[in-house]
Amino acid sequence: MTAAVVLIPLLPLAGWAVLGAWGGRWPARVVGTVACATVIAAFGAAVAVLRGLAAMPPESRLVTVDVYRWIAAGPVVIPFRLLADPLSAAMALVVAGVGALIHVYSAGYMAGDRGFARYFAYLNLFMAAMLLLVLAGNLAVMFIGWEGVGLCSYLLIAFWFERPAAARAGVKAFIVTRLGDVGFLLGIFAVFGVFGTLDFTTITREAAQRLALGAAVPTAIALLLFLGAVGKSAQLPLYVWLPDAMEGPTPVSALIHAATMVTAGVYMIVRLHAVYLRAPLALDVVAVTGAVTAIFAAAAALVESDLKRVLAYSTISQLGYMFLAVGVAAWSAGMFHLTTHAFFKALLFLAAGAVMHALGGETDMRRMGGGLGRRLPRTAAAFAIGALALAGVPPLAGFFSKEQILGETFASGHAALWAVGLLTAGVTAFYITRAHVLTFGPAAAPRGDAGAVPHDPPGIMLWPTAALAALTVAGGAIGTLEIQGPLGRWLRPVVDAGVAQPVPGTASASAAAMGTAYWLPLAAGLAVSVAGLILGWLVYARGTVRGAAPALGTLLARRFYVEAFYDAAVVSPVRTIAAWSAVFDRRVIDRAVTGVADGLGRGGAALRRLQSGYLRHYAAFVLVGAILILAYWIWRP
Amino acid sequence: MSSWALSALIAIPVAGAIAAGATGPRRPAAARAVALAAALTALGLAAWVWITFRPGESALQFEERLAWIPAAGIGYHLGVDGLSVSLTALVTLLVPVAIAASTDQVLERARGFVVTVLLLEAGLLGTFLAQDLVLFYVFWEAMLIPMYFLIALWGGPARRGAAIKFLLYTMAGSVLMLLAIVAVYLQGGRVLGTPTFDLPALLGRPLGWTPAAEALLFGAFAVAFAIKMPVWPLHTWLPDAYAEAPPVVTVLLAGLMAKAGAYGLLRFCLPLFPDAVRAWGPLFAALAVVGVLYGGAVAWAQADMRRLLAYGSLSHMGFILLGIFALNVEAVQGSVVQMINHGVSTGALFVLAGILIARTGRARTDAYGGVAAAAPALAAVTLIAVASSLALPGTNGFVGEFLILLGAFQTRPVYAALATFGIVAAAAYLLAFVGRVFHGPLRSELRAFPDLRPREFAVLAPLVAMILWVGFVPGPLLDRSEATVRALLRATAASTPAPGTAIHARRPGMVP
Amino acid sequence: MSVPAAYYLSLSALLFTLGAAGVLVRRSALIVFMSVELMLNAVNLTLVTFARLRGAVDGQVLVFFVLVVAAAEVVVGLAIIVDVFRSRETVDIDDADLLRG
Repeated sequence: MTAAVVLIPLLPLAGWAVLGAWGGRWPARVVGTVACATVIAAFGAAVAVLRGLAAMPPESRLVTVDVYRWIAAGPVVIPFRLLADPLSAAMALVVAGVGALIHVYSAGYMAGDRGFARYFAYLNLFMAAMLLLVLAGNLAVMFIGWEGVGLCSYLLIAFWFERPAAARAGVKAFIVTRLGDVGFLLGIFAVFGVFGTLDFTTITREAAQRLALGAAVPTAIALLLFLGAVGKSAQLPLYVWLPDAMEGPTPVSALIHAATMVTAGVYMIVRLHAVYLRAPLALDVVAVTGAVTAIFAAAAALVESDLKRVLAYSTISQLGYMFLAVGVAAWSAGMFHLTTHAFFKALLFLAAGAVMHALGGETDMRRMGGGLGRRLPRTAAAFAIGALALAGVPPLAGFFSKEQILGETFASGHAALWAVGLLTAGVTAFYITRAHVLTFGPAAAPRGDAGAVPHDPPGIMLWPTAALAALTVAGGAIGTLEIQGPLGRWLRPVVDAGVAQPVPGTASASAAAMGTAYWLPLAAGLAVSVAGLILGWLVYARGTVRGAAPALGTLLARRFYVEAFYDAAVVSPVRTIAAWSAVFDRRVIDRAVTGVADGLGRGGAALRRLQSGYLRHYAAFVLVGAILILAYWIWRP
Repeated sequence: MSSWALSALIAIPVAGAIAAGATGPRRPAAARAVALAAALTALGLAAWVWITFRPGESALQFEERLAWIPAAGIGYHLGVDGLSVSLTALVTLLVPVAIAASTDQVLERARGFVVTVLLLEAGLLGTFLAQDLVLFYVFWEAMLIPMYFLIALWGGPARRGAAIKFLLYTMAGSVLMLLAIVAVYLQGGRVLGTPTFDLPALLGRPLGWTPAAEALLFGAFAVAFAIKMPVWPLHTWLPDAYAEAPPVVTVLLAGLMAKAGAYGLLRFCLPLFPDAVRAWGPLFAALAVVGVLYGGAVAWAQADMRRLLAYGSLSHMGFILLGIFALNVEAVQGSVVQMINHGVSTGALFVLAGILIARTGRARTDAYGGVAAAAPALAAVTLIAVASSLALPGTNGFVGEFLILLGAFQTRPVYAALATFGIVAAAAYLLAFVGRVFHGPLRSELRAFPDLRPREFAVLAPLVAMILWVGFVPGPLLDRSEATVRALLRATAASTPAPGTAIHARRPGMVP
Repeated sequence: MSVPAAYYLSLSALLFTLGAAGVLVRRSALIVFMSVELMLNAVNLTLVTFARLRGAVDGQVLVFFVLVVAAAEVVVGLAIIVDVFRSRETVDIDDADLLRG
């Protein structure tokens, strides 16, 4: 058990080390095999851990592994601690599972790329960091993974570094998420100030005693940590890096920027739910941020013409759902949606990757269509399954998790947030229908790339896609519609820990009394989703209904001018300040120093006139000096 | 036992310099080989001292004490404790790195170069080992002279001005320190009965300063050390010196000599003037934060990679200063290890800059582009050094800056919060550097850009190993300094009239 | 009968003044040199006078030092003058202003 926990992040790390050192000299087949084998082995270890935990009685499902003493300085004692409990085991299973599928897919997708070994080294490093993040036993170890996935995200977005856009997008992703990490770090420092430790189990156990309900300290801690989540999970206002991150290879987008890394913020909040429960205000902030981001990003996806960027905005929007869920303290609903979203969004990306593979890298939907669905039937079907799941059509996985979130939001009394979520569901159904129709639909369009006839990808790419499609179809069973479904029951030992008393108004408390209050939002959610689907179909496939108001279209196309605002209000001023500081440094500070030197130099230049070089002048000076000294001695007082 | 090790440590580079000087003018390779052998011998001895050093003891170890000028109370007194043992090892690590890297980067007057570098090493080692104020001052000044010649003789086009600026600026600080040393001596004579320059003897008893005198003398010491570090706004010698010196010399300048300033603050200012340190702490913390953010901003606006790294170095030294004046164990421990870490990571970055510049002769980052395509190994090593400089967890930089910020947050949360934005600034300028040099389309004139040669890799490998080793296993490093830092802070807090420096006294208060 | 000390001192002052004036106004290095000797001997006279006056010998001892130093100085000085003459064909000190700042 202990060994399995350590092996989960260690195996991909070993893969990285081996591939980083020697991968460049190995044939692609070996590189791909090694990379996939480590992740599949990590998945096996995660399964073993899960089974080990399941064999224990529910209350004692908690294994901590202190690998060694990492940092110790004065009162700061941080062991390198891993923690396996139902939450981390389930998350590790999702991460390693989806990761393994995408590794296999990548072996086909990246075949023939010059940086094949480098790609898999980075991808393995990412898996190691992500699994470390998930299995971390304290905030400092989580921060290793947290920053590690950020580094890998940077490296993989900028993987094709010869393309300036890719290099820029990588830097943007890193810096924007790091801005959030400042908050995360400060949150860690504040946690240490309060608890004297960063250990998760201690924090959960003592949160109720050490943090006064609703006081400033827990609110500040919760909001600071949430800032880190906002950056990492691309929520408003720090979402701007994720659409640009689509410059990376598509499997990377599927793995990092849809299924795993971007969900780290949600996971972190569930992990620290005990702290958040002491700060209801912060929870409300989380919920509102999630809801607003959900509708905002869904609206942005409406007018996007790039297939991958549609999916990116869709990811931002779905992450908003997850934050909405955890913001109303529906922890397991958030984790449920995280899981199903990992399945169906990865599926959508892999299908999109297959399209790009067929069209030579084309991502603009305006140049697709033209019967692509007939030429790539399997890909179109996979995309359709993912799209229906995203839209929330039963019995696909997305339906259950989305309805669970909306139901919990409604039940917790946040009617306005529920309404926003409901509207988002409709918009989601609409934009994903549009994406499917534009990509695979019959509308005539010029071919993206002359040459070979587009066809479905090879088997190595199809099988992982098929596996994800199966998970998307069946994945709803792990959560069902009930908050106390299988996943909810599995996570209970974790999410109930550290909760001193049921907080009034949250979902967990009201889960018992559901009745009609449960069926009403369910029916509404389903109705809106289906309406969105039909409307989308009518608009784009049939051309029955004609476009939206142009002003709204422009507003959407420019994403409500958020990026322009950042450029004008943040990036340019900072750049100007930096440039001015550089000038200030030379012109003022340095000038002050050289000014002293210049002053002394001028003084010297004045004095040098005394040095005529004539012997008699010096002799006269000596004489005058001697006379002055004599005079002083004679007339001194 | 082993009462010769530290003297031998100083003597080996001197002997090496003499031997290398004796190789004759026509055989630079021989001079380099002799110098490298001497530097590696010193490294071996320092490693032995580091390994056999007993962690958990705050007192000096490997002490050597001889009368030098007994009439004036001046002694030859060497010793290492937790503050200096790792710095000593760092000196002996970076000097062979610089000598080996100079093989490809400093081609003119190689014999003179390695001789001067070895003399500099002796001065640096003496500075970190001396336990007598006069002996310290002698070594402190002695390391200036080789450094002056290294900049003035082997530097870039504006080397003369940069060297003179460096020399005069640092000497201006040193003069103040010399005056303060004499004042400490006189006061010590009054209080102790026997006048002495011996530091442990002077620390044996509170010297009974008046607040004004203490503030004045603290200021004199602190200005000398602040110039050396450098602390904003006393930093303007740095960009010129760092940019004009050959990159391998900048490795020593940024990696080692700057540490002497921070070391001096810890070694002399904290124990000698505890009340002034507490009184002026907020000012220095504020200067540290300004340095962090200002250095980061200015670095971002630099086109010359050496100036970019120079201002980045200013930013990083701000973290170290912040940690020192946080005055709690975790932050000062963070500062002590960060001195080592910054030496390693900045050393690696300047070696890499030297490699780039030696290949093309261009220091401006816009003269490059897409180098990662031509030199993947070089790009990978640069990335690791950059990650360390970015304080990514898993690298050594994280351990230091995390402890500094964590500790500083407990005593000065606002300063720590502002300084934390420095990690964003570091990301901005370092990734801009990586982006401009290594990413983008490969420039046609760089198509034949050679990748890392085996010798260059051998130079960088120990630094990369240090980066990862300290990042994951900082224990041995932290353990060696912990006892000394605890004792130091106990002494600093001892003469507190009012309670309140009990740093964690606030903690229960935060719990409602 | 003895000559009063004031006479000796007056003579010494006169000689010293003559020497100083010679150093300041003459241009030939040789003359300047001789003037310096004159000043030295004026000082010697003063020393001897005061030694006699106080009945102590240390003043006279000092005179020997001065004589020795003067002799040594003459050697070096003349050598320099000869060398200057060889290179410049003149010993005019106004031609030598290499130390001008």
